[in-house]
Amino acid sequence: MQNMDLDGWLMKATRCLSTTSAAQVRKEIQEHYESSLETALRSGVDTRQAEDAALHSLGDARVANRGYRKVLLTATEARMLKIARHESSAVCARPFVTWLLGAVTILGLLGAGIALIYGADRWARLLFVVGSGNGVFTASLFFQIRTPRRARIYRGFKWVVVLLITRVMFGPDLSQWLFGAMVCFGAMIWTEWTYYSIRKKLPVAEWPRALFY
Amino acid sequence: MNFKGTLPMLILEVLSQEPNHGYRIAQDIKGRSRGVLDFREGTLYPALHKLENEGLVESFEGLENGRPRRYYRITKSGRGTLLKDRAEWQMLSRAVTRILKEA
Repeated sequence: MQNMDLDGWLMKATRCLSTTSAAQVRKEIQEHYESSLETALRSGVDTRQAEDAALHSLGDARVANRGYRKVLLTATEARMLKIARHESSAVCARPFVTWLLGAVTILGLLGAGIALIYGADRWARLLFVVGSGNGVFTASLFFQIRTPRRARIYRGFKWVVVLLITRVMFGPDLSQWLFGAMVCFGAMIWTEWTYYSIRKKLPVAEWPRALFY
Repeated sequence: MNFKGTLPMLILEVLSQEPNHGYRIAQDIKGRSRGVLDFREGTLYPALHKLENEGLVESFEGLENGRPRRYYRITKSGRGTLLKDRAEWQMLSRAVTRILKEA
């Protein structure tokens, strides 16, 4: 019965947390509960009362869960971190991929310039979007962005370019522009938000390279 | 009594005396406030993890009565933050007391 009660509490307190975070919470709460139980038993109450007191002292599991989700990695964030680590090792660590992406950027922008000279506006726009869009992400691979401050500057620059690209893609009409930006960059905004949350929870030394961008 | 926002400072204060584990930190805060600051202990750990993420405390594995426990100790940066928080709190507390005495 004791474990059933504590298990129920832990189930609620660890909801949506990553496997590692949940294991950490289970361990520390279990230790805390045992100490609390021992103290209550030493005061002379019976086991049932001691268990109730130990569980009561922990408070509302949902409140604890809200607190934990702010400071420990959630399951979604852990998945994103895994992808970020994979990206870092698959793209950032391979010079060939970096130079290939750099070439796509240069060719895209060159193509856009040529298309513009020949009056092919739609092609020019498309190639500019491909070149600059690819370029802003490739730039992060060429520069040594290894401090949070540099990373913030880079991200600011990235979003300026992203907004410029949507402006080129969807024209000057604000409603169309915003709609296009939401559709095209919704996933990117969500990723950015999740990365922001992960950055708050992990020490800089543990950030994979992709987390700086 | 609701003491939202001051829990991190109280944790740092307790840890500035000696490294300790979560349960002892909670009991110390309750004991030293003579039961006035009574809080739900499940909220202590998120606060401890936040302090750890900010580099103000660090954790390590220790033993108590032969049982492994996660202990926390204050860092140098944590001591600096505590000094600053303590000074701010004393200033605030003096100001509020002054106003209440006037009423």
